[in-house]
Amino acid sequence: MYQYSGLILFAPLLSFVIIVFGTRVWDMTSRPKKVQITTHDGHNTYEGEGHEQEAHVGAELAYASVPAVTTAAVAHGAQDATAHAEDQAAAAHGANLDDHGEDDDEDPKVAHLSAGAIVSGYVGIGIMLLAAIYSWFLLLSSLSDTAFQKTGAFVWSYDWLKQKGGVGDYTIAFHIDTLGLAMLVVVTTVSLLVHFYSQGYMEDSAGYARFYAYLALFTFSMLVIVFAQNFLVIFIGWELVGLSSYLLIGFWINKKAKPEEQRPSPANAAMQAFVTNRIGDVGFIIGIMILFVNTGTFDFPTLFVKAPQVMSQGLLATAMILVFCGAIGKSAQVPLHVWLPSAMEGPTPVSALIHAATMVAAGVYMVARVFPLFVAAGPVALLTVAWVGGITALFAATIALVQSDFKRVLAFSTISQLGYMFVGLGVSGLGGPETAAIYSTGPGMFHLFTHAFFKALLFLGAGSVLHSLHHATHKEVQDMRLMGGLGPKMPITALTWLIATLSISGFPFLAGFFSKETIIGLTAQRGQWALFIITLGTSGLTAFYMLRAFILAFGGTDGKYGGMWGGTYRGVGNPKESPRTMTIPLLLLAIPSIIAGYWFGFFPYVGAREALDVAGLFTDPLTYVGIAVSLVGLVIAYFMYARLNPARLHTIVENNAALRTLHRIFYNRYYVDEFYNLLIKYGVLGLSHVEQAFDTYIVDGLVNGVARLVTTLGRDIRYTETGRVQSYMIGFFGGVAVLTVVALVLVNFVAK
Amino acid sequence: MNIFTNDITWILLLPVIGAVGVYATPTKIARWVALVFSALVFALSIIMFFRILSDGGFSNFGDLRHLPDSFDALWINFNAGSFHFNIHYFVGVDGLSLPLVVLNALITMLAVIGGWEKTRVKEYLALILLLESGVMGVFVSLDLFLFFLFWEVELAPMFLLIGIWGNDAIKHGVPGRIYSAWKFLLYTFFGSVFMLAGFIFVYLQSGQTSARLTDLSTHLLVGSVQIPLIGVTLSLQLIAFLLVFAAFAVKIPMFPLHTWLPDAHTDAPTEVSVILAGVLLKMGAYGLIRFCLILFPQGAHEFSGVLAVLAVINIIYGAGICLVQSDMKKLIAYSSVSHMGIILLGVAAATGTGDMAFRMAALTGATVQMFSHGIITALLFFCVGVIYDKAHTREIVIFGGVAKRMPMLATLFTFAALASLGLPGLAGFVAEYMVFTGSFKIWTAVTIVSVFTMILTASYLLWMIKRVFYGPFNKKWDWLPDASPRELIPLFALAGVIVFVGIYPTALINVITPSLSQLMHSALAFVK
Amino acid sequence: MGLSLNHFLVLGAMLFCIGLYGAIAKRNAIAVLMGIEIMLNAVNITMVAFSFYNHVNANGVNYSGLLTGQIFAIFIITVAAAEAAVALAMVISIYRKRNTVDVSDIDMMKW
Repeated sequence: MYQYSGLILFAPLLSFVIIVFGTRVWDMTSRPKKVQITTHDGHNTYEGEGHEQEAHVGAELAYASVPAVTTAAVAHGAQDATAHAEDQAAAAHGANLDDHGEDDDEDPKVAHLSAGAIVSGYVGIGIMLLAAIYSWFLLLSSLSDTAFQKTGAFVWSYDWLKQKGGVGDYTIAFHIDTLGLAMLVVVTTVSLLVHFYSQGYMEDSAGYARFYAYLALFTFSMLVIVFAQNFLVIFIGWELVGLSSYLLIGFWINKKAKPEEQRPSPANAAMQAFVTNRIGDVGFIIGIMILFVNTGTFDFPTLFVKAPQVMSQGLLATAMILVFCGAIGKSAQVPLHVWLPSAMEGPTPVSALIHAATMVAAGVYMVARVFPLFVAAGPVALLTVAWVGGITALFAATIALVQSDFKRVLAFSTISQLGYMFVGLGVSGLGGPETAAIYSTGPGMFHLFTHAFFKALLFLGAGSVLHSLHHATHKEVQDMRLMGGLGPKMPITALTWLIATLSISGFPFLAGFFSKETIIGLTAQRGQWALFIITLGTSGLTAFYMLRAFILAFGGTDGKYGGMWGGTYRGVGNPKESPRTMTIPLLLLAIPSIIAGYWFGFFPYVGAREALDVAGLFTDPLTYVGIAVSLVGLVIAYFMYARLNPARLHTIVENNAALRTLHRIFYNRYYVDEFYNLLIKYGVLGLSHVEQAFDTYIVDGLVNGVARLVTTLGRDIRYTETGRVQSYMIGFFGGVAVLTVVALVLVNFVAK
Repeated sequence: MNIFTNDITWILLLPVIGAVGVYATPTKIARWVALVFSALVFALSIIMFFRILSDGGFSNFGDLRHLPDSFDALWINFNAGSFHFNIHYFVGVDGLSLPLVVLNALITMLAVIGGWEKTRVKEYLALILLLESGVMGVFVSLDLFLFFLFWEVELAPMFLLIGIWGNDAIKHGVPGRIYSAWKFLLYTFFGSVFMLAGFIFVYLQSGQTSARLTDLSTHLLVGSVQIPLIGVTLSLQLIAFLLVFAAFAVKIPMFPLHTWLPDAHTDAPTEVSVILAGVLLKMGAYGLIRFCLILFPQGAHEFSGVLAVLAVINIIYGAGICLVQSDMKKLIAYSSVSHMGIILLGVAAATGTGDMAFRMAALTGATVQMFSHGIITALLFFCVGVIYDKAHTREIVIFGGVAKRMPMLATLFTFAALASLGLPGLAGFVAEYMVFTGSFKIWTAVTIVSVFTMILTASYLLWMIKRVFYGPFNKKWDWLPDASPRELIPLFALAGVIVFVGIYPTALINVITPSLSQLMHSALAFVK
Repeated sequence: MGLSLNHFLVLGAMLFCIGLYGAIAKRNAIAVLMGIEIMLNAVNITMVAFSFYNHVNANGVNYSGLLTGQIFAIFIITVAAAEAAVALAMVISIYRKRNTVDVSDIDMMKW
């Protein structure tokens, strides 16, 4: 039964293949065909093919009627002609770089989705539905299966690369156990809901089929990580999710940057995400190699046994910290967090699936997966994990306090919550193997589990708002200052969002409460008081910024229930509730956002010795401190945003130097992005320029110099070739005479 | 066995016959003649592959004396007293050369398809076929002087191809194609001189009557000599190694002998770039493993540390310099420098001191890298060629968002870039991963530095892709058509191979392993 | 004191120098040719003289019957005749083309 979970793994790959080679081709071919266009310079004609940018061919024809644009087109045409006349267009065009055409495709639309596109969606949803059902079935049946809980089950493997006499352990092996199963249901469930939700969100997008293909590819890649049995496979999955994330962030290929909102173009964001992850991956791969060269294997169970035996603790700690670098990149921890806010440029369902619930949690999952190695590596590695998590949690929460972009608040909130998970993992492992076994990966994974649901809900809810505003205003609105009072207009979205907000804030008896309070309590229990203060404070900040976002979007000072619901809408148009395809996933996600925390047997399920002590939780005074801090955060947010006029708040902050500075630092995200930009511009690219100069002037200079020397010499010496017989004769006889003299001297003086 | 019943002879001869045929027939037919002959060579190489497989697999690939498919005949026989100068027509394929033979046949065939609409197409295709023959000769020769002969033969068509069909932009006062053709020729000759000297040196020192690899590999150089004037003592093997390696270092190309490559690539026509990057660079790496490691294992071992450092310079320097390139082709050319450095790193690890298994893995990785870099870079250059043929420029900055008009090409170009930056599941990853894990054990510090190329490679490739294909659309490219079906054939063919090698590299590794393990155990075993 | 080898050698050297001077200094192609002929004849004289006087080698073997120098001289005379014929033909053809026999004008083969 468990072995067939391989079907779940390959199901998304199947739907990817079906969509890419089947329904998407169908979608393309069924589009209206062939628009003949004569280009500006007259000699280049082409037939518009049935690809997804059709709409723009029409758009371009429309442009031709606008005089200003026509003039520009003529100018381009003239320029084109020269470009074709000469190959070295570069110089000619250098001046014209900024002259890119007006951006006409935020998201290319089609009037009606073709049958192929719709079927693509159904294929994706159908296959994911089956996979999700099967994974839930496995989860439920494994609850009572102690044999499986102990060892897990082998799924499938093949020799990716095998060599006689070489290091032979490059095996692709998949394996499922309780830890994987917990992750599996998260991935398949959220993925299914996102697939379903996208029907509404992407309703008239020209890239509908492509979107579903990418989603399927992502789900497959993520499942590779879930099923990974060794470092090789996890690294493969690691890079593949990076790829899918790259493709999905950059889904709107031609969209422009919006510097006034501090938003990069999707293309830039995608690249930034991939490259930043690669930086972490370098550490990851070096760590893997240290383990590999010392133990000769990538296999997790073997490593758990062998690595502590053959490696010194210092070396193992180094290796594990390097491995953790990979998690820092993937889970957007400080200092590699910059890509995640940028990644919000992707479509919102993608943000929900990849950049909130699953992919970013892969780092946490990986650390949990190799947890015994971290434990064996000792406190240095574990404290690194915990402190990176703790610092990130606080750092991201402070930034989230003041962001005005709806999705960006959620992005920083995600970063912050991932920090919590690392704190949970790191702290839980402290105190030697015996102590570590008590909670094992439980607290961290538990928070991952609950967070996945309510964060996905938050993002999908945000997506619902953005979708609705897009319809109402006919442009993209993400700024919360242009929202407000949306509660009564879109009640389902608002209500579910409120549930998720309270859940993430640690409001008692909701999912987030259990998982977060456990982590905070654990820091105290292990005596990490500094981390305790940080996580506790962060929980207050979390409550504050989440309720702030809720009130800014859905409420207002003049709303009902003391400003919590409705009020003035600050934007234009008339936003309405999103279609049912979008609200159903919201409702479904609201359920686990409330109840996911009641799985008290989660810790033993993922391998801990003890279960979550619920009774102890409610008798521990620290829990009440935690609740109090969260409530304080909520209350402050309520009074600041639901009772206080935004303009008033603005004046207060602007008139106080300390607050103003703080606001500016938080708003600009501690200037980390600026710092990185400078570093790249002057550090990395500067070095590259130096190299280029070295190549051009030193190496090539030497080469060309030698060539020039030889040619110059040849050119100068040829003047001795006068063409006159008599000068040659002089040379000849003169030469003979000189040689004779030399010979005589040699014979008579030297030889004697 | 008759010389004309041997596959390899026909692999060498068919392109030449094809070239004559192309020249002799009218243009319309000539293209098809070229295609048919290049396809025949490809078919023959594949047939050879499967015949060897069915004749008992690749396990008997190790010993050069008993190759399943080889031919040996005395060609030049000059004896004067005690002086013998014998050159054998000794050809054969083993695990090291077979993938490269197939690669060469495949890429030439695709190049013929790619060059379908060139001006003066007859001459163009004929020269490409001649080039194929020359390169094939390099990969199959097992006699030192025969190898040298083919090594030089390949230069002539290449020189003409760059010099005639190249880019006209002025460089250093002459048309770029002239400048680059000469640069290519002279650089290679510069190396060849040393190689010939090295070959003659090892031949005379060994005291053998022929220069077959099989004869010389059993009579390795011993002893050392004190260099007059500076008084340094060098082993004969190191001297011979350095002489022969000079030629290979130019061809690979190794820093600081690499500057011919960017120029040659930028000025060569598309298909020639494809062949240059896809196959010709591999000649250097192939020669390094085939000749230097077998004939001068001790010398290679002594040089190993320096080689590792040079490799990391190649890798990081080449990648760094890519970041500031403004020409797509030049960028890919420098990325080749970086990727070829990985081969050097693998070889350096193989000749280093340490665990045999890891050295073996590194060398296998290097060999796989030859193949995978061949197909990936070929794909990249084909992609650039498609866009260049339409837009007549390769400047990165003047494009922008053209994926909107060329979705198909953008997809494949992105695919190629991802393969090149080592995405798992594609060919580039296999080689990189093997080399890094292997060499990490042998040259730890050097490998750690090299791994940072992962960041740089991703940066420059994705940045280029982004600036050309994604981001705000530049209206002046509104008229750009997507790739035509003919142009898509090579792209899809190569993409298929890339995926196959990435997912199931064992197929390739099984071919390579016997040869390399023989090499490691006979030649390099003394290095513990 | 009769005629000794030295007399012939001095004569040969003098003739040679006269010929060399003519060949180098004269501007007229015909005069240059004549200079060359004089040089050749100087060599002839030297050849014959050596052959005539030095007929005993270091081991005391007599070679007087061999006439090597004389035969060489005959060869040189023959070749010189042929050379003179070709050279004159060229001079005439150059004169027809360029209307000059001044050697300093005939520098078509420079660099």
